[in-house]
Amino acid sequence: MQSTDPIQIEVEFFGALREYGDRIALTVAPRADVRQVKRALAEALPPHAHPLLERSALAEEETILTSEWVLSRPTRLLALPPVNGG
Amino acid sequence: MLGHHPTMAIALAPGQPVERRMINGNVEENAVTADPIYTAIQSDPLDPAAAFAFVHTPHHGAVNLFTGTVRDHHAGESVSALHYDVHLLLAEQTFRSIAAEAVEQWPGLRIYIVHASGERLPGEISVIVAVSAAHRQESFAGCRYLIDQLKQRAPIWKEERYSDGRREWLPGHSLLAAERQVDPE
Repeated sequence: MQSTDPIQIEVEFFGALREYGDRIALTVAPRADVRQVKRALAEALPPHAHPLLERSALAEEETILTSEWVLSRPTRLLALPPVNGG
Repeated sequence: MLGHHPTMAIALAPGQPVERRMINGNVEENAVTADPIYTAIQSDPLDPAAAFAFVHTPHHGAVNLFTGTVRDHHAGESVSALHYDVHLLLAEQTFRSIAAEAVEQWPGLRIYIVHASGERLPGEISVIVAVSAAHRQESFAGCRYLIDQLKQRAPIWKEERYSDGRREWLPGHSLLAAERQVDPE
């Protein structure tokens, strides 16, 4: 039987999201998907950060997370806002 | 800096191919690196000569060298510097992916992609993409593809710093698949 205990994660910020710090620790329900993790992030950030968060991707170990991803263990995620290199 | 640098002295290994070319009447020998793709994120100044040296080969008749330079103005603002925030591993991985895609479309390319990290002043080079190919069509096309894809997909963010002390992160391309689109700039 899978644990229903909340899972601790850390989310590292890049680009414009650094305005809110370099990283943040969150507690998220097990089997949370990307939308649920983003919702938890939104609750921890001020409202004016929400449009940027909405357009940001999440990554884990250098892989951009897709809608199929679910949280299964404590982990470190990357919050990647829209990019503009060059 | 990640990766190896093509301007460093290269020890010739037994069996390693060597290029011989005539320059000003003298024969110059250079090791031809086996890997035709070089990518890096660099905190020290970028060197277009190193890019040219990496892609230049007697087997290819065309070289395209693209450099991006920090502008001293943007949208009516006087820009004093740009700060580049980079996820090093993911950026290097992205550079390699887009280079592999270019080689798949135009086989035989030699490719050099280096992007700056940290603070750069107006006039400094922020990115170099160099490509060589047997003919100019694939060299132009490959170089255009690489810089366009880099700007859309590489995890690099820039913050403009203005002469009056203000600073602002610039908007960009979302990495969410549903939002990807081509930037004409």
